[in-house]
Amino acid sequence: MPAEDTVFAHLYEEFLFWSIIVGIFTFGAMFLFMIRYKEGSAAIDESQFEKIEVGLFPAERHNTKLEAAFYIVPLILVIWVTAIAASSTTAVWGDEDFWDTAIYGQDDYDYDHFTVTVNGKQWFWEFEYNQPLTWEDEHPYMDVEWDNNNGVMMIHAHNHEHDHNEDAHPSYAELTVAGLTTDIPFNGDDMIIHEIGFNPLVHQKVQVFDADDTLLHTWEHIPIGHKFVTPTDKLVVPCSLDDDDYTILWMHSRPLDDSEPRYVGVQHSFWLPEWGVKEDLVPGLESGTVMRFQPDDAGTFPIRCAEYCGLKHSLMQGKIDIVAEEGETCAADIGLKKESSNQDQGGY
Amino acid sequence: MKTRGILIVLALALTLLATPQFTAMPTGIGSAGNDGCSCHGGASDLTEIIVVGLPESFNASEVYEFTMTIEAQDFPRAAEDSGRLGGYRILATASDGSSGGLVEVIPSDLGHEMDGGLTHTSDGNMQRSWNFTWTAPADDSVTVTMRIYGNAVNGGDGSGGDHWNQEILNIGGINASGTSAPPLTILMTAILLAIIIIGLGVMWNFYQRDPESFSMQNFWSYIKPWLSTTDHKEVGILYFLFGMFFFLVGGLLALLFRIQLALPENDFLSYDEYNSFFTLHGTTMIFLAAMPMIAGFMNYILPLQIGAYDLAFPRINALGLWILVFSTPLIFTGVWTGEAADITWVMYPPYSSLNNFGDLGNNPGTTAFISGILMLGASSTLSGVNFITTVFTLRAKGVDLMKMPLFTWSVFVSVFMLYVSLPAFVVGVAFLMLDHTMAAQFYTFGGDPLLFQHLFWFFGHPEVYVVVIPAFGIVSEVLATSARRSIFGYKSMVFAMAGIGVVGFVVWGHHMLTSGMSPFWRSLFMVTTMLVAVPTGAKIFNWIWTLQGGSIKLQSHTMWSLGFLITFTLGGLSGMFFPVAGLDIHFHDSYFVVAHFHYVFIGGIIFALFSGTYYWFPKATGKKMDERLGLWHFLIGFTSYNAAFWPMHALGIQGMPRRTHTYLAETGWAEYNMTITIFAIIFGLSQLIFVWNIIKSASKGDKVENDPWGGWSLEWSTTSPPPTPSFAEMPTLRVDESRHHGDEDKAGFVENLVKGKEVSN
Repeated sequence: MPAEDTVFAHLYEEFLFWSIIVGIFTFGAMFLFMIRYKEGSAAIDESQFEKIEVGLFPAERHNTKLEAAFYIVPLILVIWVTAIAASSTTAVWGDEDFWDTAIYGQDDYDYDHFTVTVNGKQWFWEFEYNQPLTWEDEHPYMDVEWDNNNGVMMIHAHNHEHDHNEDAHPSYAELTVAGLTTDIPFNGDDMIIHEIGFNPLVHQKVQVFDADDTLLHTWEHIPIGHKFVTPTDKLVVPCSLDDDDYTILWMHSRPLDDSEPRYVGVQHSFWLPEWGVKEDLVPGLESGTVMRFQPDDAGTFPIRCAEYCGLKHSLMQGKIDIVAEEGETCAADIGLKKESSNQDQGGY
Repeated sequence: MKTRGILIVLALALTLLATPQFTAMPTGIGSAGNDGCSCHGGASDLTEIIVVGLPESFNASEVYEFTMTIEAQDFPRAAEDSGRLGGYRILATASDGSSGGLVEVIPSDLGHEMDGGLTHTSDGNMQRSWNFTWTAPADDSVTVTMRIYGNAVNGGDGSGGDHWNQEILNIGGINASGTSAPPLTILMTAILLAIIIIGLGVMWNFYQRDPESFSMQNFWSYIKPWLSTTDHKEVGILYFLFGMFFFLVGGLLALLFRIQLALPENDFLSYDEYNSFFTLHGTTMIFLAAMPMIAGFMNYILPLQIGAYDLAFPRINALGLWILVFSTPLIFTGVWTGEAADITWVMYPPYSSLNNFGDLGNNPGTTAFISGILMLGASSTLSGVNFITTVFTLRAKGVDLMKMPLFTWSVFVSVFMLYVSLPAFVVGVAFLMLDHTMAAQFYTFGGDPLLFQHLFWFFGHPEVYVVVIPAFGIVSEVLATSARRSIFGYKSMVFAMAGIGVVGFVVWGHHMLTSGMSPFWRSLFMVTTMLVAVPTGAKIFNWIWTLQGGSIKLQSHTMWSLGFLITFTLGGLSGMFFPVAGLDIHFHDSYFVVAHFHYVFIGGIIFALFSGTYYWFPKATGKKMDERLGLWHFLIGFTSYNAAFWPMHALGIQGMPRRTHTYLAETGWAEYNMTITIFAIIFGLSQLIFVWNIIKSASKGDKVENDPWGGWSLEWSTTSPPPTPSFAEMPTLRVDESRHHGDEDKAGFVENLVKGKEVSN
């Protein structure tokens, strides 16, 4: 179920309401007549019946005003719900201004959109970062610090007030630089984990664990051009902090094996049920398709493939992490990753 | 001579150079031993490799233990015996070229890895039997080839006099394609058995008529008229029975994949089976069940309703039927071997055009499947031409266009829609066929995959109306007759159908709202799609108003038509959710869509067909269907149907995609899916009541007169069953001028405009 504040949730409620109204009137009339005019009922006035006889086209039974009403009432309702629906088109796909700036890159680009290129392959997703992202999840008593002075990064992980937080007992940190992982034991209340040369073009990640290997805290730098691949990796995007900021996904269907020119990949459909949005990935479409959404709460949510793409279509699943950019706070930022509120995880 | 000698020596020298050198035989054999080993004296039948404990098919990542033993017959030991007895090399490779899992020897010091395979160490060289563990690959859709080489060593250090042999085992993952497929075999065997039983049943029926004179020759002369018939009634019955049979086949397919989906992470069906089952389910239900059953009613009822002796082109009509019949083996090609088409009923390229791409592309059965679909196009075209011509030319005296019964009107509109939409489909599928078989580039490699989607849905959406509008016609007939009134707003009903017929052609884009279409077109399709609700709504209100002031007798056909009103309205309401951008981008390809079109297809079309069967069965057989069985069929069928398909809405909202082989337990979809499966099975079983009712009533039903329900149209004027030709004498339709209800209709202009030519045969 998409979150409450999505365009979907709002429209769904509206349409459900009008469906129920129509249903009450339609079924109400039907059951009323079924009971009232059941064979043998006192309400039946046979003198009103047309003469029904084989080979005789019966007298027409009509009432022009009522018949016209049967067209006009649905028409009014359709115009009304179309008006509601039309207002959503902009909310879903953006207005002209959005397309000119964010999509076609004309005019002044003063929005803070986050864009990722999504490549659909048989049968996994590949996420390519078009801009860097540095993020850290908010933890009340923990922080990884880094300093980019002179190309040197000092990563501190210190437990500011861990005496006040009995749930978090950091034990060791895992430092990943360009795919190589090092474990560094935690040695006190405040400690310097490491000092390394910081290269903004390299993927770096610090994860702090307790003795039971429970993840307590994460800091990550994803450089431009970095690729994540499901199911091993998640897609990580920052939450939108402003009403005008979106996450924009450029989507392409790419062949897994390009040794055969006729194989251009197959169609997929990228679905984020949490925000109720999806868009197809069309093979051979050079420009790709584009999808936008506005994540505001931090958390981990499912990614699914909705368009049948062959043998292991059902395995083409992934997860998306919504995080706070370093120094920022999401609307619902609760430190440790929350799972999505409903039981809507993973998929297969 | 000299030159030849030198060449021979050179060739021998090259061969020797190419022959692998084995300097460390006691510590195992590397990649040189991969094609059977020429060292150690070469392969020999005297050495036998016995492998015990490997499974026939494996589960992902499961660990299996197995033993390999070398038996050597009559094996000489060398004089300088070093105690060495045997050696091995094991290679496991997966069908997609990846690793075939991990093979380890127990204890581990008896083996080591060399050139990507496991081979023995010096210690391992001292025995002839070893225990291994095999950790199967994590991907259970591959087939692992296990090549096991064994060497019975003669005891010496050298390589002479040893005897090698090899054992090659193929172990398929439980989801590997082409492996044995029990549910599939069961399904197809059931269908084959059903065909045999039907054949034997027909034969038994014939035998019982006159046991004395039974011979195969007589049987043939009994069956031949049915196979060569051109009479519209017999062709109609054949269409209906064909459709009914495939309705059950399609249902059986659905129940098999419902069992697969009942539990999370289930592996009752493999990927391949699941994918081809839902493909065949969709295609079967639409093209081989719904359309033929409707064609059955069209064939049987339409000429009777307009007072025609037969259809305009009886032989073309029969040709249409038999092309349909012979397209089915093509559509089902490969199902016995697990290689049936897996391209979904919408057949989207590029996937559907990717043949010979192994796992990445479609199954081999797809080629025949596409040709079968092309044949269906031919069949529909041939049968469609008949109805248009018949309606235009063979109406009896008094049957003006605006005096035709609503069922005839509905067929007329539906066939026109078919004619406008079908060319796009046939062209689209023909292009697909060329892409698929001749590497044409309509949709791939520079071609446009979206072109197919446009062509398909330009047909596909009107196709929904092609099948549902005749259902409207049936319901109009049944409700009016059951209420003992004429239909409310006859003209309004005709215009509504025609309206749907026009608007239905400009809505196809709502199937492609997520395909990257420009927002302008998306908005346009949203508006046009919404408009369909206007004539449809008018029809529903007219039906309900027909009940008003009537005297409703609740018979089986009435109940199914009232059931239709409920479920079709629900399906129509959920249909209003799709053209809305903000809703469609969540619902598209989710279970909400599955719920919607099953409400329209079953709740709309199939329920109306049930209703039509109960309604016109007495006309076709002269006997009434059993009302008690009809009531049970309705009560069980209608309830279980709603219980099975309603929860699919919730699954769609929660984010379950359609066409998904399985799902994780943590999604929380398991309860709904189990409920759906249980009620789907009950719904499936309830159809057996219907089948039994047809069989039983055909022989033992209560006899009826010409007009058992009190209808007015001309089909009730002829005998039950009608003679051939269908009327003893040409009927005439009179008009009841004696009275009118409601206000007077003064629009004589339209009436004059469409007044039909009076035809006397």
